[in-house]
Amino acid sequence: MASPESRSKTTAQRRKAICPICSLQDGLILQWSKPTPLFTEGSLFAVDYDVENPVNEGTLCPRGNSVAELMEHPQRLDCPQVDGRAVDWPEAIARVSEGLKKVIEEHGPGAVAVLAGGTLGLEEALGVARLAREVIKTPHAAPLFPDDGPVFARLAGLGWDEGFTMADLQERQAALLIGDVFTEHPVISRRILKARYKDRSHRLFVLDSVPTQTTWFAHEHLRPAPGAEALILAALVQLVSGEKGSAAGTGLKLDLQAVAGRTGVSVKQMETVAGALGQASSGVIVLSSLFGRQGHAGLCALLAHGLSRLLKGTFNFLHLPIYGNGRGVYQMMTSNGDASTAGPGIIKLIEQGKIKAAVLFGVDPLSAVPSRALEEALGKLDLLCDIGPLPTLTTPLAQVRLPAAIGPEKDCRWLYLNGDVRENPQAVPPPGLARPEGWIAGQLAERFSNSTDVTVDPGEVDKKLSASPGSSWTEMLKAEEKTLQTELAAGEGGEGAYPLYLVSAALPAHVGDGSLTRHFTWTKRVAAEPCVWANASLMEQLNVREGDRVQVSSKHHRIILPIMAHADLPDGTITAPAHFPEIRRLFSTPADAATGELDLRPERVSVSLPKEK
Amino acid sequence: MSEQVIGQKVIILNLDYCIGCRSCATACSESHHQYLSLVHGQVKQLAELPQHCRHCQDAPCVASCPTQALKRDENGIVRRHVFTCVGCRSCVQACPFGVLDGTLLRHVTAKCDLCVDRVVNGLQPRCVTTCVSGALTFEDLSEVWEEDRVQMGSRIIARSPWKRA
Repeated sequence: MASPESRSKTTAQRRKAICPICSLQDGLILQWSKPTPLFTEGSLFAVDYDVENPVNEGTLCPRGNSVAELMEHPQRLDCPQVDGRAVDWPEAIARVSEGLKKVIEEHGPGAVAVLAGGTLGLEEALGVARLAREVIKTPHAAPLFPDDGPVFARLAGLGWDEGFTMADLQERQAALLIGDVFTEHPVISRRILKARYKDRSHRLFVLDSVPTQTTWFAHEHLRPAPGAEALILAALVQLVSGEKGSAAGTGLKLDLQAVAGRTGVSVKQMETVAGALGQASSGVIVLSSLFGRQGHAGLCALLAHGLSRLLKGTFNFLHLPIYGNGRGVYQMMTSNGDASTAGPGIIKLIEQGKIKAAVLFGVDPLSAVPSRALEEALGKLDLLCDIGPLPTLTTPLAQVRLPAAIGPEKDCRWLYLNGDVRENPQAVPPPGLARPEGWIAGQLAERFSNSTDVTVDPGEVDKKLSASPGSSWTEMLKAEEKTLQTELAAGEGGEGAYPLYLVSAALPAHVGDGSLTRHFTWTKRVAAEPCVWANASLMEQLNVREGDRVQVSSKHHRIILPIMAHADLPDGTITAPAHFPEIRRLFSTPADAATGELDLRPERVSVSLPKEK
Repeated sequence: MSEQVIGQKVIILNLDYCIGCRSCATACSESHHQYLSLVHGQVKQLAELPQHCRHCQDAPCVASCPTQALKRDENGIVRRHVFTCVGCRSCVQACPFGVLDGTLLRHVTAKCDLCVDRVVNGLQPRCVTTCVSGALTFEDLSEVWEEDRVQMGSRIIARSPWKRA
């Protein structure tokens, strides 16, 4: 570990690094400015563009452009804190260790929860899992990815598409994008748009219930009723497998007219898309899942995976997770098919008061799955240890805060989208006493149990990654037929008190639950406050103008938000950005019985004028 | 680099490619101490497009500046002098393209400097380098005119209310 002083530079320097924000893992250059009369040490970071990087060719999204600000943030924690008091590492580690031992003595190891986020390296994630399961001996250790969890759970059984490069995408003849891919992961747009404009025969299809910047570019925008994306994908699977004489044996027997009636997408439109995908010699299906955006995101992933297998051309299914090493952390920390190791299940245990101590490695439960019950339960914990680089919504409730390094500040390995394990070299030492999460997990293990070492050998990681899942997608789909039939029969019910659908929306300035991105000055400038978008007809009906405040109510929560106009939104649908905890609270968070992950879908809500006080 | 070379190069926006992600604006803001010199315009609430300073040959903003804070430098770039600008916003009124943002930051008007620190070294402005979709390019003006390129992309035409009518 380099000394803290080495973070300041007396000369201008440039180091290559990987953007720690999202799963595209874009390359960038961190540079120190030249010393000036005001800044004699030249310690100010700036982001420059790594045009030689094959992933992004120097381009960066708004979040990537702000990485330097994240690393130099004035609220950055640079020393451990116990009860708000700055302490050294031995004292902080001893406090956590003693706190855990006390809870285990009184309530058993099952009263301890360990949650991890997507910024950990592969070895770090496995080390944290080992700390929880072998040292603390709690079964409640899991990654927490409410947006991506349902998809991870499916793909953990099916396997991920591997072996392609980002450059391959611009050679593909067709693309089916599910969700607002360009807003959530702007860097991928370059490859897809190059392909779209290079060849007139290229076809770009977008499946999304609301119009977005991505749907702008679609040759065909499949716009189903909110939450019914899985039905469209199932219809496409049925149509494509039908062309092959039902040889694939998917067993799907959906009435396409009924699907058209339920989703609002015509049979002709579905046939057009299925036909074009079937004729393309190559293509890609991309899914960007977002909290409360797609209905049955896991099932969508299963169907998209199956569709990519059925199509006769060279097709890949690409899921774009939110956080940098989200998929890697998921694979390291979960045992396949074990629903009890899912993060949302542990959150429910915390809400129920069954957990008495929690250690959070780079995760913010109150941003990810906010609820009043969770906030109260976290406040009552005997020990809450928050490990991360910046304060989160959960941080004020923590007795112990431990400063962690951000991606470019530590040597680690991340799993890339195509299955490659990529080195993430340290470009700059962490500030002050901040340390990588893996180092912190090692210190905790050493203090808790003198004889146990949680240091992970890279070979163990490779072995875990090479385990083949081996489930058949057709078999898994048969088990889901009931879900599809139920969704088909759901219709437009649920009117009455909650006549509108709330579909979560993405903002380019934010990613995931916003716990990292809300620290950017840029984010505060362009998306300072949560709001709700509605079309002109709803605004006229409510007799409100842009900027007026309205009350949005669901069965679970009620919130007053400014209303903004959105020209193209279909009737009966409103959208609001999912990065704000206040808006996330509007959504119900049912867990999938089989996987333990959340089964999120657009929420039924009502919009009214707030009552006068 | 000579005056002519930089002076002839301009930032071109290909409307067909812009996804409205605002990477260009973020890069501009982050690299200029949070001074944002790149405004975004909305097209009927359907698209958000960046509007760049053209560095006009006969720049109205320079003519309108009462304190001579706006000047064309030796590279042909219209620049604002930070200590001379009094934030009167005359340039904002004068700009025929509406690319100068009237929002004052520390009592001065933000103005695109074409990332002169990069351009003199043969690099592209930051907004162009960072552009994720490839919509922004930094090209020689004479080449653009020779190609007789249609500046309004098919995307805009396709969604245009005039075409629908």
